Amino acid sequence: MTKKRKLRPGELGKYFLFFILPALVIYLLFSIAPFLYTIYYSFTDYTDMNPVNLHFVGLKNYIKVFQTPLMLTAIKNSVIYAILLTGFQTMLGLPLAVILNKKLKTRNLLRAVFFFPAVFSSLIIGYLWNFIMSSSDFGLINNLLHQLGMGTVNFFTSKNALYSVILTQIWQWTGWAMVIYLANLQSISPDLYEAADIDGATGIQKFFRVTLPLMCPSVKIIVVTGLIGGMKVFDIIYSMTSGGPGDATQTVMMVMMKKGISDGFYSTGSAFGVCFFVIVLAISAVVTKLMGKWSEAIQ
Amino acid sequence: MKKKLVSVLLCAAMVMGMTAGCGKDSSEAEPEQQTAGGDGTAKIRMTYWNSEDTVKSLLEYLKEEVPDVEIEFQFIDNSNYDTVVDTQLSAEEGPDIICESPASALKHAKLGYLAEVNDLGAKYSDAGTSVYSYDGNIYALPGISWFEGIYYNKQLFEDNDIEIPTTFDEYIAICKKFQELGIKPLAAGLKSWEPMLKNSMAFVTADYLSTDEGKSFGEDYRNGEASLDGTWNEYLETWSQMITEGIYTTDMTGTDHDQALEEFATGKAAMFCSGPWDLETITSKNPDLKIDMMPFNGTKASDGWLIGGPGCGFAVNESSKNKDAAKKVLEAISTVEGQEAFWQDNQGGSSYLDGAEFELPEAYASAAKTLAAGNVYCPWNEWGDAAGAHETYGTEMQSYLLGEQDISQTLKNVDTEVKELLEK
Repeated sequence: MTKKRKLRPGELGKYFLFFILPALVIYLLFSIAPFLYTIYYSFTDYTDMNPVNLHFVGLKNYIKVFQTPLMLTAIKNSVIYAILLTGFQTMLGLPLAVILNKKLKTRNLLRAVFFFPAVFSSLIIGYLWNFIMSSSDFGLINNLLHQLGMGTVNFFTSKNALYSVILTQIWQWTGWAMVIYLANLQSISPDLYEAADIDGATGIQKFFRVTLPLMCPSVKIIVVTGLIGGMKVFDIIYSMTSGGPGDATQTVMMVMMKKGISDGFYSTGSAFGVCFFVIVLAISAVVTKLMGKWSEAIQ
Repeated sequence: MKKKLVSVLLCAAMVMGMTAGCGKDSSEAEPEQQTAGGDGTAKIRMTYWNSEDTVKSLLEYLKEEVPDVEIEFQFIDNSNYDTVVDTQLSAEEGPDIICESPASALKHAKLGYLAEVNDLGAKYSDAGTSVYSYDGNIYALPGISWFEGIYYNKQLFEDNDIEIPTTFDEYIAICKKFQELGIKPLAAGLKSWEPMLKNSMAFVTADYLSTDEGKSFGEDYRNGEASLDGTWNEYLETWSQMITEGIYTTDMTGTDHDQALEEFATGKAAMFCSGPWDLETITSKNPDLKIDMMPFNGTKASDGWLIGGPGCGFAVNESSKNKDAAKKVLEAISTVEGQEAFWQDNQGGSSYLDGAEFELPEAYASAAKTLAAGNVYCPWNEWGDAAGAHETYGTEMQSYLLGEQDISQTLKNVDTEVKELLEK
């Protein structure tokens, strides 16, 4: 048996490099390079009518983004969507996880039932809810209302279309948030609850003084990923409303597809994309900092 | 020692796996590069936004007529069609035969992607080739025309003694009669931007764009010399009776095209605006439905108007490696037999080829006069580079219906979008 030579620190480094090289190359080629190209194009006059003779136009495209009402509406709608979805996911997912952590007979079945919607693609969920919320007599909800003698409820007016979409997404994704909270809950030591019991804490007090502070890691994950994912929403909007009626549910990705790609304004679309990147970066930084402060307060 | 051996074997297996994959690719790529088959047949690729079913008979006809050309049909969904084809063309990997809409034909002609087809284009009427022309040359050959009118339930009309209207006021009157009878006059999927776009534009066509006053509007508009706001307002104010009389309701923005079609097919609504592409779906949902189509009407009595125009235009890619083969195919399509083969799967439309005439299916009987008079027009086909703005017109009309803005603001928003597209 050969003697195992003692490894010097960092000696295996060069082997690790070979192993990650393929993944790194793909990442650079398909993620970083296009991103850098997008920034480059945002300063040119690249359109589908001018695909090769690019000229530098300075900040013209960025000014255009701020002068286009549609793009500003899209950013506003995306932010509302992201905040409401993440907020409700957290507020509903957490109590749900607490309840489903207790010893219930149907606990596993209930967990599966609540998580089930998250398994489907947003496209399918969109078409499904389109049918459920339809104003026609075939729409499940309105069919029920008509049979009860009530009038039609239109879920897709300018004022409520966005909230109808958000409702379906809260239905779809609260289960996923619940699962993550469950994982965190199960890592909280029962000794802490025993100690709280000895101190005479009520259920509510236990939740706010023991559970909630220790849920910080999972709440941080849900909030940050939820906000970023919410800003990037596309599938559900495309399948439920296509951005309509009017511009009521236009979001950043929908406008990017329409103006930036379909209409051929590649350079303006790129500028819009860069602005969007900056906004998401800012939001993530602010939220991460707030969450950090919270976890520090707990330690 | 064993551990080292296992790890070495695993590494070797990984490396072999990677290189085996690479090796396979390079050996497979070679046969694909040949565009000509070994037995002398030329292979060409054709793209279209409708399924292969809509060109089945045409492809069969072409197989017999032009046996030395093998056509690979590629369907690309309408929502991505322009983007995918544009990308392919700019990478010089475009299809050999491209099905073009008037707007995309203009764009590709300007960018030099299309070969001119003047000699074949001469066989077609001007109405068909004018929308595919640029700078004095014809760049695509018009296919079977598409059109949209108002399908109606013959039974409901007969049972309630309601006659086909000949003017817009008569149309509003029959809608009111249906409302009094408790029947929904018009099924409309206003979740989509299409219904109000076509319905309102048909009215403006009848009352303005087809008159001496409005004939040149399309051209002026695409040259930036006219605007919708200030010109179309009065006509759209009259047309707005469709909204004020409750024929188009705000609830309808919660219904999409398929659900509205279902309402009409199951007899819950008396009328439905659509075209030949929906006929089979409607009749398969309800084979007992007695269906006919009436045209849109203006304020004055006329033969009526339909929204429509040349269907897909067949164009040849300028940088195709098999241009001659592609041209041969186009030649075969430009015959009466070729047009008939295409018409087989697109019945109802008419051909623009001189000498090709087809029987009109019964489902379009009440629109026969309109079609014969040639009253088929598509306003945005004249908008040149700004043709894509017709979608914005539709979505702005949704905002108008929901009371968010008045007609002037609606038209202003479309004008802004058009200006942006024209200046691109």
